[in-house]
Amino acid sequence: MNEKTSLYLHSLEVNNYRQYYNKSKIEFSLDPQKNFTIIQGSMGSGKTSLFNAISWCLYGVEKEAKRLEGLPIVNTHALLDTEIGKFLEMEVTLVIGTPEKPLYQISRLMRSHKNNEDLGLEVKEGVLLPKCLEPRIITRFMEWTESQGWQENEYFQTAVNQIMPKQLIDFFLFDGEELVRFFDEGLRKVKDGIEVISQISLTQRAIKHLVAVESKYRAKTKGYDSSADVILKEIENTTAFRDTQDAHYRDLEKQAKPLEGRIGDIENELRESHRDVITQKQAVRDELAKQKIFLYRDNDSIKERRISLMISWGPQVYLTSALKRAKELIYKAIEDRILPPPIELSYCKSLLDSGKCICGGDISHGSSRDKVKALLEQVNLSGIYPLAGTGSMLIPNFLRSFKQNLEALNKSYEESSSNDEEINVIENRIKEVSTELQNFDDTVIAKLEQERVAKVKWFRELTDRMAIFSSDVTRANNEIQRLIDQHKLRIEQNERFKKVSKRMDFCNDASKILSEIQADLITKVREIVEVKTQKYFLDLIWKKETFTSVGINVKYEISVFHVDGFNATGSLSAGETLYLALSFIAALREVTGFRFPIIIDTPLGRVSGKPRILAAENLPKYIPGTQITMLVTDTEYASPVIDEDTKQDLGSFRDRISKYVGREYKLSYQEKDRDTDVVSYV
Amino acid sequence: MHGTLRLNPLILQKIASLQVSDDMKKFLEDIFYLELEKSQKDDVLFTNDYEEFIEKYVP
Repeated sequence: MNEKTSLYLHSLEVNNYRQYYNKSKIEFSLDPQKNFTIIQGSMGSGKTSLFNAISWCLYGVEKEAKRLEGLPIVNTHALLDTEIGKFLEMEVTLVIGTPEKPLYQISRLMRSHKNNEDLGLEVKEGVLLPKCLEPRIITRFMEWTESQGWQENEYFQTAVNQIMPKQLIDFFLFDGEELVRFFDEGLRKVKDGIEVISQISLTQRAIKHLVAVESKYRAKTKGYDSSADVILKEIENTTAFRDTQDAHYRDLEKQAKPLEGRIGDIENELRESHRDVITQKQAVRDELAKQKIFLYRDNDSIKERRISLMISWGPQVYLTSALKRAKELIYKAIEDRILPPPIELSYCKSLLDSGKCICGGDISHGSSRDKVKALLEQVNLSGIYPLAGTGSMLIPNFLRSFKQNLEALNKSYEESSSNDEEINVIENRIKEVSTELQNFDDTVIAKLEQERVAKVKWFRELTDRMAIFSSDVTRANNEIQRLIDQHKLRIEQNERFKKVSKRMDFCNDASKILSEIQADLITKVREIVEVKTQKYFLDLIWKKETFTSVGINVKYEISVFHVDGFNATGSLSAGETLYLALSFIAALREVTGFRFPIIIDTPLGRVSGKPRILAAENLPKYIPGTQITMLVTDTEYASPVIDEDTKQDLGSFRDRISKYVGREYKLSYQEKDRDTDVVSYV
Repeated sequence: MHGTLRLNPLILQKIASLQVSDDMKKFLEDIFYLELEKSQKDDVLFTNDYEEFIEKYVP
């Protein structure tokens, strides 16, 4: 298959999976001109289950399992139908290929033996299942080749990862409801994901392996040279210290991750509270947190500017006193006529040319002329006078520009301290919101917030300790490198270790080159993602005159800049955030070379009013030819949109996008049968 | 030669542009494919695998 060919989902078949009793099949649009497939359904009808079915089929995990907490993965109707002692089969099959033909048939079957009637739930095979079932998973990956037709690939996960790597899951299956947090909370995940899919992580692994092999070779030199052995022992000790500190770091990181997750969950619960006053308080806190992040980022860029200013003008800071003193000396010498102003040199020359002194004496020849000539020669040879002349002009200029740069430095300090003050105010306001929530009359809310505060405190303590361990690791690594170099010098002199020394050198050289490749790759990938994200975003966005550029820093924090120069990321609307996320995903598709189809759950959940109509007009322009599937609620898809200003009925999202829709389904859940009907209506 | 494994073209370009010996270039390319293959199989690479490899390049 050509690397540039986009992958299309041909069909998704679910059998006894969650709301789907027996078999249901969705066929996706394969027409690149009508690249949208719409699956419409009300809450609980099984949209997110389809989203999860794809994820479970490919990777054995459900991406949005949290939203389905408390429900088993198997259909309850089918479960109750199955007699004790019989098997219940639950299966998801996905057919993927080019628009022209299917290339891969991927299926995951869970065949479960029903042992008893216990319907209590527990986690088995990574999913929630009734205790009465004893599951077995059978996976199958069929691949089409022109020469051999359909062939099974026995390495299921390898084969799946080759066409849609698991690390990409967030970038082809994503939830519109979660978009608001796509750029806030998921940054580390985004960065990690990019490093894996752009294969930067391969360099990290290779370096790790080369270091291990080099160390193994080094150990082979033990016992032949006592002084080299002493260094080896030091390397061992420092490495042991480094590993201990690193283990502490990882241990703390392990503790911090679930804490971070729980803090996020609590905040989500508050966001989604049925009491408006709580959702508003959480919204205020979210907004304040966003402002705080932007102020921190602003401080980072101020700091960067300040550092570059200090690097270019730093030497002057140290030379200022010397320059001031030199200026004083030159001016004093000129005043005292010890040094003439530069004009006197030409004056001397003109005297020699004319042959007459200012007193009227003849200097056209003889000893008087020789004296003037010697003086001129001395002046020219020593270069003192011309230098003094140049200095008398340059030094004041230097001192002036130093003053300007000093002012710029002071201004940058003022800016960052004003940001710090603002951060303080925000932090106090966040504390106030938290106190209000902790003292709220609803004990559930109050307890949640108290738990959040305790967890945040604990999380901060952990991250502070992590910083100490991380710095220990860095110091130890530097020391190890110094000892390795020292050891190398010792053993190089020993003929016995010639071969092993050569291999160690090879490992060391390869590691260094790999580090260089890694650094280069990180920069290139980030730059490409930045340029492409900006291109897509500015193409997609309807406010063409409002935004000028998109920036992505080394931490993969995204900023959108307003035409007036300020960072507008914090004030983007839900629709604009959706476009930013889509643009970012499009950029990733390009940089990674994986042309995956995109599936969005409730894409317009947070986009209302006119922007919803604008989205319908703009989305088809987004990466043309890419298959896009949207799982939409009835409201976001079919409800008429009213222009708030003119009160005009703008029609529905469906009306506007219909010409690009190749397939359209409606899901309808039948409570009585515990089954969702899939009805095609295009 | 490396079957269906798809190495990021940026890595291949970077290796090609390096001012190092052809042997080192070949070695780097080979270890990238080796790491890629193992990572896609969720398999673990051992230092022994690397040792064998290095000894081929530095006999």
